[in-house]
Amino acid sequence: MQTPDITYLLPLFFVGVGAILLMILSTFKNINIKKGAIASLVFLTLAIVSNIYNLNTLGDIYSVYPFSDVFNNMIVVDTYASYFSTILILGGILTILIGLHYFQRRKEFTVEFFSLLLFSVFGMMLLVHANELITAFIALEIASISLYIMIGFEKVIDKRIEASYKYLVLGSLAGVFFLLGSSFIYGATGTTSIGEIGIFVSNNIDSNMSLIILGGTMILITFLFKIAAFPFQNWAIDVYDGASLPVTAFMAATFKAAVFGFILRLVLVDFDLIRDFWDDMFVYIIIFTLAYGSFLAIIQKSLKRMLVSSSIVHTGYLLIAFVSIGVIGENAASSIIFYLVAYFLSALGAFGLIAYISSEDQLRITYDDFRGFSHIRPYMAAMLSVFMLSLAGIPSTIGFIGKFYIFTGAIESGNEILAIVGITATFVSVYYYFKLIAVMYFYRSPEMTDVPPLKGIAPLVIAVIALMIIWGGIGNTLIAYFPGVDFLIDMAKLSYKSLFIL
Amino acid sequence: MITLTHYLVLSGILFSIGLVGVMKRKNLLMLFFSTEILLNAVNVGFAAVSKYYGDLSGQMFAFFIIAVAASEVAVGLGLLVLWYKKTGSTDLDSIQMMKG
Amino acid sequence: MTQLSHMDFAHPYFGAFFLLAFGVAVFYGITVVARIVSRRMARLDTEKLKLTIYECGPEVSKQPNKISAHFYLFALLFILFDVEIIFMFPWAVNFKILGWFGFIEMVLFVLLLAIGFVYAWKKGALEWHSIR
Repeated sequence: MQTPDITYLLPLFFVGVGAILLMILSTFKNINIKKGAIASLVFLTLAIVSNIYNLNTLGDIYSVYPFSDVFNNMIVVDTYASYFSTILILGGILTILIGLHYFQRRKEFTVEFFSLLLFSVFGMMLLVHANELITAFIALEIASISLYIMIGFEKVIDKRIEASYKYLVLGSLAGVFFLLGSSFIYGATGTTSIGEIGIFVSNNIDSNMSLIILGGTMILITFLFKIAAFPFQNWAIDVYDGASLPVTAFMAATFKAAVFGFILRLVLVDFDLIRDFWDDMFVYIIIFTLAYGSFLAIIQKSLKRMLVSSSIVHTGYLLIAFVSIGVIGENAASSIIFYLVAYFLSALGAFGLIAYISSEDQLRITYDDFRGFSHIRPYMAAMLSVFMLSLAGIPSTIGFIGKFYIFTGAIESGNEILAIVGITATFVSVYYYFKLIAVMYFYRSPEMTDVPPLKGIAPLVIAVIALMIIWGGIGNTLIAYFPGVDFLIDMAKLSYKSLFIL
Repeated sequence: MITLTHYLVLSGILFSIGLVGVMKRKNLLMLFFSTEILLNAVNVGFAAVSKYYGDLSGQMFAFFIIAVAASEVAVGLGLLVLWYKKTGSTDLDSIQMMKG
Repeated sequence: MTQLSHMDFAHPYFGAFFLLAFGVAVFYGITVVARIVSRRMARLDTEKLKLTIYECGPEVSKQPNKISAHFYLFALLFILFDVEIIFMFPWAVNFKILGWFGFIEMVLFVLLLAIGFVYAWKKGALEWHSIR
């Protein structure tokens, strides 16, 4: 049966229309934050349902160009893009659910915030669906510009505006490098469509590739900037620290996944033959990213800044798998996708819980503020411990399995040095993650009464995330039929294959 | 005779001017000017290559880049007005509260 | 149109790239040199009196013609809607070729812009006194 083209685009359609409708709704006086949140949740749920419907009904592997005469093959819908879209929409839903309590407490947040969040999710989804460099640039800018405004939304706080400004200036500078790179590639190949660049490269592999390599390097600079890898990491701490906590959770969890989603497609499809050119560069970038990120994470006193610095370390882990793609393509790509899911859950949980705790008081910022936390709020402390364990990669959490795949992949592909550096960084990370657990459990503090009680939807959602993390770690050994880690890995492999069937 | 190389050289010069502007200028408004110069340098390159290949898509991209640049600058200028109301300065050094 | 081989094309563009690096170095160098030279040349100790504003009698006041920030908001909105016109030029030139399909696309595009405009209007961005 022929599926109508619009079915493929329904997820994008719902999110985009939802964003515009929310913008109109926000002008009405009687729409409060709660109604806006419910409306945006409805649209995101519609999107995720239609997305999962696509994944289910179109078969294991599919890849289509919807409306190819109108869109000129600029948008591709395949298993890969649908898989990433699911992650991204889920990120939006969880951010709204977790942050709702926080948003209601702060006067500055209005319904427009949800509109911007939906626009941002829309941009990220368009980014993973993009089959063309300029479409990708526009998608990246839609996502980024919405994020700039979301960061600076609480405009009474100077820190927010400053973070927004820094991100805006540096982000637009990085975007220019993306454009310069695509203009080089356009100049060399006469096309900006991702599949056609790959065909050009494989047809002309014997001739001079330097211009394409130069353009690819420029694009990789933007990529490294957006995921905060080593030479471009300095903005990350300030910006993430300046943003309000739910926004930080959203950025850390979803934006990285979206950017990786695009760049994996670009590198796997187009630069497959010339990729070894960048391998040496990436080895150094990874080592410095891991070392510098660990160093930054150790010296931080504030919990939020520690989590942000450790996100730089996690970027390093992801890049390890990125390098091993050359030798073990399928396994490495699927391990990146899996690790993105694992990090997505852990980071969203950790940031979300801290956002919930600090939504009522501004005081709980540093490690010391969490002194004796488990004696007052045992459940919250337990959940926070689960997230820390998963981020550190302790067995029986999903983070362990993600790291396991990445490091075994690195050893298989002959990058033992990277595996060793990565494992060392993991050992170091145990220090700063376990410091929080130790502070929460092994100390007592007399005055601890100002914590919000467990009520509302946010703690429930966070508990579900914590359960998912544990389920990902031990799940399939207990109950075989319920989808767990194996399901995620298999889906990741299928989505990797779907890149190459056209 | 003006060839493709000339346009690309122009694009390169504009890009380097913009890059130096971003690095050297302290005024936030000038920073945005420099970003605009960078984007327009890329535009010149796109349009020239598009003419060279006889393929119109490059010129179309230039349009989209202009639109994206405008929206970026609109956000930036909005923030600038906000920042100026708060601190009374458009200097880059006034954005130094967080030391990261 | 003949598809040029890669080698033919790589050379001119590479020249542009080297020029880029060279240009950055030169422009950067010029600014550094200019700063050093102006520091050397300037006689800082005699400048104090010269730089004070001379006004006979009254205290030096602030800039008299302070421009309301409201103008900037209008300018911002103008930029946003003005730039979108560039998408209409190619459409207008090829109006007959594109036909109804192009027309409907453009109506959709203008509709999206109109939504943005209505949003700005509803929020009171176009009224002179409502923004503080």
